This record gives sequence, structure tokens and C-alpha cells, in this order.
Amino acid sequence: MITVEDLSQAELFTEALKQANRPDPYPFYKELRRRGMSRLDDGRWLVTRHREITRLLRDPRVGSFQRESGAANAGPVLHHPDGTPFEGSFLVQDPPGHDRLRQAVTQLLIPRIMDMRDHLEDLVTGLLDTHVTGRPGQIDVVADLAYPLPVTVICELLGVPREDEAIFGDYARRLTRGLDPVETQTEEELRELAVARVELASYLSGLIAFRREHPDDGLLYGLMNVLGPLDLHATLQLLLIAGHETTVNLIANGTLALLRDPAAAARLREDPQLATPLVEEVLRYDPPVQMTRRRALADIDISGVTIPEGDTMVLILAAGNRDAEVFADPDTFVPDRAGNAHLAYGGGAHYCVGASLARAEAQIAFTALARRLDAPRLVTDPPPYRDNAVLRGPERLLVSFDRLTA
Amino acid sequence: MPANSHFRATPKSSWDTWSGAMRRWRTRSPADTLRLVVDLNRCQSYGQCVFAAPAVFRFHGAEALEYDYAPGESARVQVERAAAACPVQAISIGTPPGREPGGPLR
Amino acid sequence: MTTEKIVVVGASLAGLRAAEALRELGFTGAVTLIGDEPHHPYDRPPLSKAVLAGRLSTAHTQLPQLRRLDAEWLLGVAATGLDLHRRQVALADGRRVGFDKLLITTGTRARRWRDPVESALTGVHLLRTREDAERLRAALTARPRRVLVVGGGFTGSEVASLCRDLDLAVTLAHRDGAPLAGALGAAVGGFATGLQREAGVDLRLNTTVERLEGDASGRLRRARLSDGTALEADVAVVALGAVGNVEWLAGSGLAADGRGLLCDARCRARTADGGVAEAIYAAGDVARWPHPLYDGRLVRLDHWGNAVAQARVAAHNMLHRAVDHREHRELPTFWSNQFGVNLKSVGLTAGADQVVINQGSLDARKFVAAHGRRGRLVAAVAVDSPRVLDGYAALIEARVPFPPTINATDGPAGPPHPVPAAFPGGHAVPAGGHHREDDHDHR
Repeated sequence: MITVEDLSQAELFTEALKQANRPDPYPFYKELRRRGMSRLDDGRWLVTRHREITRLLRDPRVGSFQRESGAANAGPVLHHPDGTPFEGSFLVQDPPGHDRLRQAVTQLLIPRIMDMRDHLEDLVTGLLDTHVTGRPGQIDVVADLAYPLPVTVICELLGVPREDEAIFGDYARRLTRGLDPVETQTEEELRELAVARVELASYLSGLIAFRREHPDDGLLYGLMNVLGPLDLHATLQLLLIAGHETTVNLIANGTLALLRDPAAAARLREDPQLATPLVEEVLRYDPPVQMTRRRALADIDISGVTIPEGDTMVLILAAGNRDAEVFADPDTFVPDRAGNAHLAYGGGAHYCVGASLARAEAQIAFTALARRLDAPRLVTDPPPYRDNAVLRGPERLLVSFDRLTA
Repeated sequence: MPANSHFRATPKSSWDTWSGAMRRWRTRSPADTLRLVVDLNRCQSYGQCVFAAPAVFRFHGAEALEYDYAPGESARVQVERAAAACPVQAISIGTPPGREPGGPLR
Repeated sequence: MTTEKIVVVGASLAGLRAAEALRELGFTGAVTLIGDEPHHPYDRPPLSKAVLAGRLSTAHTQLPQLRRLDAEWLLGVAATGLDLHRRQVALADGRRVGFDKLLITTGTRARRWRDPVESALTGVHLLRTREDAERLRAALTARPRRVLVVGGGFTGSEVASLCRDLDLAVTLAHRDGAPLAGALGAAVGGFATGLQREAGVDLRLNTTVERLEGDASGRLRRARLSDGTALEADVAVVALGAVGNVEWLAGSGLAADGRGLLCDARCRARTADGGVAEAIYAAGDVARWPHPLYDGRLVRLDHWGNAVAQARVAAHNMLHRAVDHREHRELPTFWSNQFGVNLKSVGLTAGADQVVINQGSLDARKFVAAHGRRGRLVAAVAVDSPRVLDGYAALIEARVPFPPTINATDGPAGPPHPVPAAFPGGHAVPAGGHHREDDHDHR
């Protein structure tokens, strides 16, 4: 029998990315973590320990993973009206360009989500209300809650008409695959990605044109006033994917953890404040974003190795989140874990812009599910997973119950 | 520019609200047992606490966090959310010194 | 002998955190905290910022106690003497408190104006305690025509910043060529000069205050400056740094003077005859010790983070045999908010011989200045760039060569161009006194 100890680092990484292992890549991460800093033959470094990931996320000698490094992001070189080359969204940009774009977004976004909790409660209530029944039944937590909630939120923020939410959400799903390591993608998938990108761009152009005719005090109009056309498109596309696909997975992964740990679900039902540490534990235990890429801007000595300037690093956040040096009993879901220094949102300059919003959505969703579902049970364990390795989460999450109360 | 400089753009009125909230808290109820502190060396101004507990935490300038050490019991849920959300675990919650929080000595 | 009773003299941040650490480490004996202030521990950094600005009342600066302590608190009573032989602390009210082990966390106090008569004028302020902050806040609320700040270290600069926020006329007199220069060198000091002048501070550099003059009713009226001017001012804030609270140790046999209480890297107090006082430990602002990361140079830090970290080391060592002792080797860190910018530092800037801007620019008011000493990176100062300092801390601990190769995308084009750090007094760092105390008075 072949065990993980027999596999090379490259093989372990391949296994972790395989669709067949999507429900549980953690044993492969664990073995990679045991081996420490690993350099693959193609020059990529796999970083799996908490301490090293934390340090590299905040190291000034570490830059973002830029578009030329991956075919998934390849395309013709575009230029801003002033002739400077377009560098992509702020997800893949470095300071100072990153900072300027990010600041523009945060200045407009954060005030608009500051007092959103009550509204999020209303949205969750409304989504579950359509399924209220006094009899045994079944819901798909992905399709019925995890997916529509963040889509509605981002659509409301951007002023996307309610009737377009389904189309808009569909773009996000199709584009998400583009974030995966390129070797896991087929030619056809790459083509499909390019098509989705063009379709979204076309949709966004229409939305922008409409908003230009009908100015309001919304996020989109605000962004239109401070960003050029290329930056505007890149930012909107980023907000759509990052502000949505990640939260879908957070809610679905957390619901899955609760279904597998009925005692935790029962505690949450009794004590809604448990949602606060519980969401952090979901982010640690089964993070929506499994890994992120970076590149070395200078030689970096770390843990006895030197990452040469120019090399690419894959920081496997999900692996660092289960590092026993930082987390006691790391493979156990501990809903009230204290001092949870998880890496789910990254760190440093690229720390997730929408972290607060995602947290609030998840806290409210888990609390409502725990309160309103009587005797919830997982129909299929493990549930079917989507293809995506980076933004990882269940495709469907069927839950049966005795009652769904108001 | 820094990631959190949006707080500069927030209307002055929200600042006034914050000060007003703190004025109200200056008269604390006897049940007031909440104290907190932020290690501002650890703090990297990610701003998660400001979102979680806007009446307790506030940016004054782009990166300069200010907060109320004794915001009153009514803020407890918000403060706990803020502490849990802090990416660098810089927020510690406790009790007024000299008033024992209970629990085991060891 | 077994340890049954631990006394902590100094009931502020370091004392509180040390007491908590003792319990956390399993000490179940008696713990007594003695403090000369009548209050339970409160935090000092906001006093010169949100409190002075009126955004926070002093009652809202109380520090949290983070675990069960079961401690005896003796507040509002100063320690006045230490008998090493009998293991007793003498208190101002005549009591004597015995101990098996003693932790000294008496901290520092603001250095008073040198002339007691001038110092007693109404309108002359210090800023260290809650009461100081309340008095100064009241004085500023009365809209003085001009505030004079004496000293351009962190406290003085923050007060000047606050005065400008309140739209008060303010003059800052500083004996060096730039504010903060004693702590951060001339390059960052030059940046601070720009901040102050742009904010409308009447900044008098290389200038000292010679005399404070009052009227017949004992109110401050004007100050005579070394540049020959007579400055009309209703309020003067004396921010000339800190002095160690060590007078109560006079005659105890411990190695204490105005620079602090000498101890070793394990937080054990040193005796005047060069030995180690076995049962006596020190932590926080009052402690002066050879920092292992800086070649054993003697350091005394008025830093919040140091108080917390050193308190933990001291508590650990108080409860362990010498072979299990730890050294206090944490990298110094501190922060300040002034003139709309956040300023953070990691490492020991003082004593650096070169400085280079690695990221950002002074013009953008957002930069990282790396400090080198004898070819090694020793410190980094970040202005409105708090998220990169961890990376520099790791480089400092790894003792990488200076200038470090960063290649940050927001760094300057081309190879780095270090310039002399130019600390006041050049490179001649006085042995054991590498910190100009007036410039490292940050709390």
C-alpha cells in the first residue's frame, strides 16, 4: 500500500489538488507540512507551516503573483488611456499601485457595509422563510442560502438589478476556476474562462453605461468616479468573484462542520454568541481560500533555505491553519477555540478586503440554521465538491430535517 | 495609501456618534465589568475591530487606532466579535483590575 | 527556600501583567501589588492623545485584568524603603511588607522642570498620570493664547500635535536639530520637523528654555528661550523625559540611580557591589539591562511592549531555578500617533550609524526607514506602513547585513543609498546610556 510518506512533494501537491481528494486534502497538507519548505522541480515553493506563511505574507520582499506568471491570467497587454500598461486588479498588484486601488475600494465599500448586520439578518430570514415547514424536509444549503446570500449582497452593493442576480452569479462561478493552478485546467476550461471574462465585461459595460445615465450614491457610481475603465472593470470582476465565491464556501464549509458535530450545533442553538469564535474556527478548520501565490522580490532566507529572487511561492493557508505548533489539536473542530490566529484571510497588504462582511454573513447564517433547523442531518457525507481547488467548497449540501421553523 | 484610510472619508457625523456613545458610557452601571486593551505594537490597522464594534474602536487618521477601554456591558458582544476578528490577536478582554473574574487560580 | 509570598512594587502595566503571569505559571502563594497612585492600573498612551483631545475620559483608560489574581492591592501608598536582609518593603504609611521574592516595577516619572519655583507656577504642566492629563486637558479647554512645549521627544511632539488639532497656538522648543531625533535619528527627525511646521507648530530647534516667568499671582506668563526671545505663553508642558522611580531603593544595596535599576538579562536586580540580588527582580520602565540582541548594551525602555514582555520573563524566572531561567531578548517596539500619521518602530534605533528609506517616500508621508549599525540591520521605523514591520523584525533578529536587499515594489529605484543616521552627539553612544532619555519617554 502506498502511503503519503512514499510520495514526493510534487506528488503530494498533485494529490491535494485532485478532484478525488477535494473532500479532504488535509492529510496531504499535513505530510507537506511535516517536510517543511519544499521546492518543486518547476521552481515553485510550497509553504505549509504557519510561521513561514505568516512571515512571508508580511515580508516586504514578497510580491504578489502577477499576471505574466500564469496562463490563467494571460491575455493581450492592455494600456490605460495615459499609455501605462494595465497591471490587473489589486489582488495581483503590488504597492504602490495596489494601495491606491485598494484604498479607493475600501473608502467606498466599508462605509456601505458598516451598518449592514440587520439587513443581513433580514436577507437570511427571507431565504429560509421560503422553506418553512412543520414536516420533515430537505434543503440544499448551498443553493438555498450560501449562494444567494452573498450574491444578493454584492449585487445590491453594485446596483445589479434583482432579476440579473442569477446571470451575475453565474459569471462568478465560471471565473472562479481561473484562480486554480494552471496545470489543473484543461484547454477547454481555459477557453471557457476567456469566454466568461468577455461576457462579464460586456455585462459590466452595460451596467456602467446605465449607471452613468442614472447616477446614485452607490458603490458602482463611486468607483466609476475614481477609477479608469480598465481598473474599474478589473475591480468589479474582483469584487464579484472574491466577494462572493469565498463567502459561499465559508457558509457551506461551516454548515458541513456543524452537521458533522451536532454537539457544536446544539451549543450554537443555545448560545448564539458562540457564532463569533465559531466562524473563526470554520475559517481555520476548512478555509474557503486554500492557498495563495506570491513571488520573491529578493533572495529570502527562511527556515534554513534560500528562496531565490524571482521564485514563486504557493502559501497553502489551509495547511498552516492546521499547524500543531500554533493550534492545539489542529485536526479537531473546536467551536470556541480562543486566540484563533488562522490564515484564512491572508495577511499583510492583501488581507481580505471583505473579511468583515463575510464574517457577519457567516455568523448570521450559522446562527439562523442552528436555530431554525430541527434535527438537521447531512444527506451525503462527503457532499459533492466543486472542481475548484483554490476556492474550495461543496457543490451541493443537502440537509434533511424534521422541521424548519419560522 | 494605506488599506484603511477609508475612515478618513467617513462623515464627521459618525465620529460625533462615537464621541457621543463614549459620553454616554461615562456613567457606567454597577454591572460594568468589561475592560479591554489593544496591543498597539501588534496592531497592524486591519480595521476589523472598527467594523465589528464601531462604537468602541475608531481610526483617528489613516492608521491610528483609538478605542474605549471601558465601553460598558452593552458593548460586550461587539467587543467579543472585534477580538475574535482581529487578524493579529491584539485585543485582550478582561475585568476591572482588583475585581476578580473568577475561574481557577492556576 | 520555597516561595510563598511575592510582592510586586509598582501597580501599573508591568506589575499587573507580571502578577497575571505568576498565576498563569502556577504560583498559588500570596501576591501583593503596591502602587503609589490611588488607581488600579490604567493605560498611559492615550493620555497624550485621545484623553487630551477630549475623546476619552481618564476613567475609560483602565487596563483589563486578564485572569484571576487573588492579589492583595495596596494602592495610594508608596514604597519608601527596601531591606534586602530582612526581605521587607517599607511603606509611606509606616507598614512593612515581607516577601520571599520581590518584583520591582516602579517605572518612571516625568522629569520636572529644574527650577522648583518656576515649576510651581500655575500653567506649568507635566504629563504622566491621569491627574496630569486631566489638569492639562482643563488648561487646554480654557483656550490658552499659546502653549509652550518644552522638549521634542514623543510626549512633547504628541502634545504639540494635539494642540494644533485643537487649533491652539503652540511653540515647541527642542534642544536638538530635529524633534524625535534622539530616538529616531536625523533623517526621520527631519521628516518630523516637516510635519510639525506644516501643521503650524512654531518649532524652535537647537533651542532650550532658560526661564519660565510668572506674574504676581503665580501664573505663567512667558518663557525666555536660548534664542533670545521672550515668548508669551499661558501653558507650558514640560516634556523632558523620564526619571526612574528608584529613590526608595537608596541604601538598599541595589545598583539604582536616575537611569534606572540595573539588572541582568534574566531580570534579576544587580547589587551595587556588582553581584546579583537573588530574590529581587525588575521589569518595565525602571529596569536597565544588557540586551542580548544588541551585544549586551545597557538598555532602559519606556515602552509599553517592553513592560509586558519583560514582566512575563521576570515572572517566569521568579518561579524557576536558575538553570531554567530565560533571557529577556524581545525586540523593542513602540508606536506613536502624531500629526495625522502612525509611526511604528521595531529594533533599537538609537546608536544606528546609517539609515536608508526602503519603501515609500518621505514626501508621501508613508515610508519605512531601515537603520543600520556597523553593517547590520538593527531597526526599522515605519510611517503609516504598519503591515510590513513584522518582516523587518525577522530580518533584524536574523542580523542581516545593512543595507538589506528588499527590492520592495514601492521602494526607491536603483541601489539603496544609505545616509548617516546622525543621532545627536554623533556615534559616540555613551556607555550604558545609549538612549537619550528625553527622547525615549514614550509610554
